[in-house]
Amino acid sequence: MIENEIQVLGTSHKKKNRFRPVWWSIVVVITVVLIASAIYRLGRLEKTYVSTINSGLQMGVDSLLREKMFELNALSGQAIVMDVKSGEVKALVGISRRDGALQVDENVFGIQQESGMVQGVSFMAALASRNVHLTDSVDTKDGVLTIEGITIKDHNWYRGGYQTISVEQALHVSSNIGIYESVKRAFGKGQGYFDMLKKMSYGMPDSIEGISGLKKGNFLSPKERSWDDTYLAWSCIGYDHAIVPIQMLTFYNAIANDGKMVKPRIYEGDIEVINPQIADSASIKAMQYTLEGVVSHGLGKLASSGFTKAAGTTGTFQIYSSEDEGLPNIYSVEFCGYFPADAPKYSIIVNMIKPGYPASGGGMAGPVFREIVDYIVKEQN
Amino acid sequence: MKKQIIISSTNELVRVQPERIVYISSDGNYSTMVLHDQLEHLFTMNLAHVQQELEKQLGEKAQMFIRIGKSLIINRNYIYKINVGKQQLVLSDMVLPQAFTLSASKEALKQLKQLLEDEIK
Repeated sequence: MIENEIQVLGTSHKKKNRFRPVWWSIVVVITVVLIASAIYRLGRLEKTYVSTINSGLQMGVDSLLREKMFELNALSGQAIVMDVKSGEVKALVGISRRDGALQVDENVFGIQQESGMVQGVSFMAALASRNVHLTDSVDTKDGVLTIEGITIKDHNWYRGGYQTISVEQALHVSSNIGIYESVKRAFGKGQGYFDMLKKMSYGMPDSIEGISGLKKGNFLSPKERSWDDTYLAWSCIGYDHAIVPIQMLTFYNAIANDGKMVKPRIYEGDIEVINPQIADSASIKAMQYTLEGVVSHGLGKLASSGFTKAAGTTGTFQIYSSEDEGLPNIYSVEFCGYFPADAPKYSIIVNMIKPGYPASGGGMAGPVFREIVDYIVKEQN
Repeated sequence: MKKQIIISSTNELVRVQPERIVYISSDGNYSTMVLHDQLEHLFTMNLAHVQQELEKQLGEKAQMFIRIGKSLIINRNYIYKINVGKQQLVLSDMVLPQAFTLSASKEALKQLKQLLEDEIK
């Protein structure tokens, strides 16, 4: 518009009309920018969502897990296979019993629970403190330990317990007392154990694209409630922890990966490092050695494959007590490990929730682990 | 009594009802105020200064005046005829028989004409 020749006195020199083209051009520019960024983001979306899951393996794992769950009358189960170095998830199977039948259920991945696998985590923490060594001795006595009126028992307490064993053996045989004594020796009685769990990024990741309902694994610590010696004892063997199998797998995968914790992914993309080194490499090596021992000498014998050397550890935990109600207690039975032990390629976790005794991570989840390992080895040859 | 405005310089003060002002024209440093009964007065101030005084003292009522170009302020109530082609602006009282014919640029008259036409829309 041409500079105005006339002006009504008392009004501003710029008339309203002159604003409109400027206004409109701003609106147009903003709209163009918004559309351009939306197209750019859509373009990236196209690339991102390619699944890492191997459909043949997924089907194979599903059928192996389902078979065992049926045999145990299990209430729910999960089996997850992860590529050690990249974090790509190759199989992600979740099954639960609904209306009497075993059905695929993706909701199970986010359900937090206590876990017997915490024993291995505590063991790793104790080694990482540098105050405990595999050859140290721990006295598990008769398998019964009383702390301030609270009793901790090893699973073979009625057979007289394990008495004095090496620290390494404590994990081989899943001795609660052995683990507790190791943690106590490593950290004293206070916050140190919990700080180490945080330092190792235990409980991560708190979200995975494509898996809904995930929350960060957590645990009660002295900071949160009035401290009492017995809490350390309960916590280091798994009580008051809330974690899900894929987070537990992430932790053990870091051990397989020489200390580097990578994030599990179900979509193709870049490797995401959660923690470049969860513990010093000497402690990691000691842990790897112990995990091999669990399979070769310990309660994980049923997990050992005829085709390759595997390493891992077992977990058995009573997650729900309903005997008072006349119902069987509920147990979680787990095995988490990796293979080949000398140059880990895949890590696997098998978790099942079953009613009533007997319950054994090594005896029940261990065989499923072995079958998955054998399946993968055969498929690759 | 109707509101009067006061235009004051160092030596002089003029007091007038704004309704009586038909137009004020200027050539540089002097401004000539013409009232409807043809009374004229010369101020020793430029048009911008006169405009300021009108705006200051009349507030909203200043809108009865329209500045045209750089040298003319007219009282819109006296607009009788606009002829863009002839570049003529005729201001008249409707009461007194005389009319004042002024000239202005084609563009200014075009815009003035547009302004009046927009107002009745």
